[in-house]
Amino acid sequence: MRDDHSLTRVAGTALAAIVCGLSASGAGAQTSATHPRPLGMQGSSNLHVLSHLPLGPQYSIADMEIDQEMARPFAYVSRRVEAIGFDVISVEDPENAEVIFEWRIENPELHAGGAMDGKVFKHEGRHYFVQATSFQSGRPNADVAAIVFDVTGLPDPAEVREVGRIRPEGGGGFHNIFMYKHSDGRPILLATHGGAKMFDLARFLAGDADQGYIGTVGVPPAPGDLSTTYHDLYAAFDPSTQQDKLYGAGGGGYYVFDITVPEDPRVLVTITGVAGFNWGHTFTPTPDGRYAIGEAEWQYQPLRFFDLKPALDAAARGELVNINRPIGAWTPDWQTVPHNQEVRWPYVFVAGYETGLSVVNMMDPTNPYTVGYYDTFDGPHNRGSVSGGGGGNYTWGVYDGAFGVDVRNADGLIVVSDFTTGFWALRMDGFEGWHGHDWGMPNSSSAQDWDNGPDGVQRPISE
Amino acid sequence: MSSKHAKKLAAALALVLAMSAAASAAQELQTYPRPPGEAGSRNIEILSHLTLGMGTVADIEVEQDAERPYAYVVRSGAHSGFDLISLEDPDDAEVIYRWRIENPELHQGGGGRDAKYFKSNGRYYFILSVQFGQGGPDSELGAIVFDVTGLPDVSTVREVGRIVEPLSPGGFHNIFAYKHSDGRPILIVTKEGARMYDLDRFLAGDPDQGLIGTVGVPPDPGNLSTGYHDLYAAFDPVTQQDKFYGGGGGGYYVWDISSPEDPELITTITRVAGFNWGHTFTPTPDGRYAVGEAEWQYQPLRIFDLKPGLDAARQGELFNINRPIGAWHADWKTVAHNHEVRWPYVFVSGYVTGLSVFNMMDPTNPYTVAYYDTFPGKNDKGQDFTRGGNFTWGVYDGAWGVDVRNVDGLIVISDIATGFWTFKMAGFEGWNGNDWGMPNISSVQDWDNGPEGAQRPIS
Repeated sequence: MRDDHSLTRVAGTALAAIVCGLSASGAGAQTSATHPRPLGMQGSSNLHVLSHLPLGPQYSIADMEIDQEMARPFAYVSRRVEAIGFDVISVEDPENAEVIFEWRIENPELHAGGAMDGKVFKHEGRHYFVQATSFQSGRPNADVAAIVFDVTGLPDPAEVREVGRIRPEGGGGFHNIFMYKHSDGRPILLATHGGAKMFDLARFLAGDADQGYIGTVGVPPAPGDLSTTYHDLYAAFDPSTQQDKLYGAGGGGYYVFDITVPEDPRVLVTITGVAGFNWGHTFTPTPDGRYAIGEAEWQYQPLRFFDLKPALDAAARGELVNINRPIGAWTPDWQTVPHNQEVRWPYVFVAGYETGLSVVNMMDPTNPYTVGYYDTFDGPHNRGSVSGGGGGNYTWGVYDGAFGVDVRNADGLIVVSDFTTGFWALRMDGFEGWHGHDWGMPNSSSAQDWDNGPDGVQRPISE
Repeated sequence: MSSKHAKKLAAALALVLAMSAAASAAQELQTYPRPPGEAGSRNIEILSHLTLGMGTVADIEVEQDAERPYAYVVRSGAHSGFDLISLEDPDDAEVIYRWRIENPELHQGGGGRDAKYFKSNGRYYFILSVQFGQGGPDSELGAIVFDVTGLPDVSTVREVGRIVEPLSPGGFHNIFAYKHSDGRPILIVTKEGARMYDLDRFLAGDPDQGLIGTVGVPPDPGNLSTGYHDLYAAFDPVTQQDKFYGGGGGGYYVWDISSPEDPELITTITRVAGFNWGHTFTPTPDGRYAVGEAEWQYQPLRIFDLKPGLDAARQGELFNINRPIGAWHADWKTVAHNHEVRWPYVFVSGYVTGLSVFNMMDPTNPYTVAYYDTFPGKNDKGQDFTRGGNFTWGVYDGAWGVDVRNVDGLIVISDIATGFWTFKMAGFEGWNGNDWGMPNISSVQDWDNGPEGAQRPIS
């Protein structure tokens, strides 16, 4: 035994030397694969920064929206804490973006909570911006969930005026919102609030006593779900079925509802019981509604690509089929987690928290791959402390960096809002705009056609 | 189509073609196919490879005594049983004995699953765990014990008994043989929690098969499972506790089994983002950290710091840990399977990525130090299991089991598809925890002396 142990000690000593060497060589591996980026490799050669505006302290910046009309070169960045409100940024000259207007909640020092998401819409020739808010109870405006502004007069900031505040029944704010031009012509605000609440903003603007409230899309309950509500929302028209569809993430995963008649939503598809998560964060379909991308807000979870066809086929037969596995997945760095995404098929533009902006090609949804990136966040890996680190099992350490992303279809301008580093405008070589028809798809994305409604709606000739 | 749109389309198509060419390699799994000649890292050497029968290979165990150079590979399905492989010449391993369940054609289910050996009263025994389905013979059978003392004379191998659970059919998925600090050789099995059997009593013909008791799974509505999937036990010299480490339920659990008849819960790791059950859970030799595997595609091995839970336990409180301090992946599109901890190294049988070795000296940043891909098949095309649930069956192919012989650092792998492999890693010529400032504790038991660090009366 003594001989064996001596040998072992010799081997151990040799091994210690090896490990020291390996440790030295592996020092670079002691951070995530994308942090730090190699010198000069912050972005791929096909991504170009046009503008960068640091806007404020860490975590004071949230989601963003860009006006789609070239004649209205404005981006709106939500300011979630401290300077609660939103910034309007002119991208008239994308290489010299500038803040032209700031709106802040009154008496900000009295408020707790903040503004997370913002969306634009157009109605009867006027342009509006909706700022979602969520303030803590016991503080001012705890019952205000969204504030609507008339921004028609931009770029003259003096013309911006608040036109109303949405106070949903039951109190509390909206975490995320989506503006949808329904096939019936109504501009509908979808908001995360005890499910997905829908408001007819035309009625709201007209002073409707119910604030234009239409109804609520619930989350089908299931044991094991982390949440009973939605976290994020999307809506799109499906030309093949002539249905307006809501895509909700929350509950135990992802859900598709038929909201052709918003007052009577019908569940079409559920995606729950998927290995790796028991709630959904963001859920975005392809323009044809065949595939959808699901994000689960936990470190190590990739974006998952789901084929909705089995469930849509079942729905066409009047059956409900649950999908419980993806057909593909993508991550810029497995040690992180992506956040929001915008689909411009075959591209997916991802605000990836620590990894900044990534662009993914999903032409083969079983093998999506990165085609461009620019890392807007050069902070440390897994050191985030937003909201003080928060509770639950959320992986707060990786929630820092690129929060929101949007794409202007007319010219392909990409804008990113970063929790910490602010506003960015970028271009990708060869991507000079997007129109679904150019790709054999419906021209359907988060960008709405406020004047004409969804692409593909069959209307009586008499219209 | 407008000329503007046509121009955009042409530009975009050109972009996609260019990018497709550049990205063609990226459309495959990062680790498949490996570049020619790079199936393994330079510091890993193959000593032997034996193809045993595609799709019928399960877990593996290697004996630790240098004078007993034997590995046991579990065979499943229609070949349920085990193959006994001689490593007398590790460069020329050979199957010297095969045992198969009688009437294999009548048996249902997966069959052979796990393997462990133990030594008692100077004799060596091998335990094969099985899971046969109802509708065929032996659905109540959990394990078969063989006396293998006479090896290499295979004619002396004899079955000495079977552990059956008529009231709870379904067999034992995983087993662990543990030399308790009280001297008993204890078999721990996945059965309605974790059942423990005193193997000496079993060998002596105890009517209860040596059953000692059961470690339960603390219930929680969000748990995927109510049982354990995998088991481990180790002695903690600091607290003088025998500890049980279970993966299952809603995650991972540590119990004090110093008195196995009265297990006491120490720590739970549940409600971790990314899984709601545990597969395999292995502590470091000092019990401070533990490696947890969740059997789902895309889930890395997670490294947990048990200290908050252990500190709370000392104060009589139960603390749940719900986040890891580090993680490791061979390839994020896959999932690792089993692992053996020889601190600072962790040897991983990673299904489609084969063998990997990572260093967890800094548990917040574990990193790969070696690999050999024993599985040349495609990712996410596993066909053998198409059962239900949300398990990601497509990635369950390739390296199933791994074991390490401490005396000389020999690494053995069982691969579902490609069979049996032996390796050496340059510079790793054996393992003794003391050489690393750790207790000499691993899955390897000291059957003669019991756990290291156990304080015993001088008398």
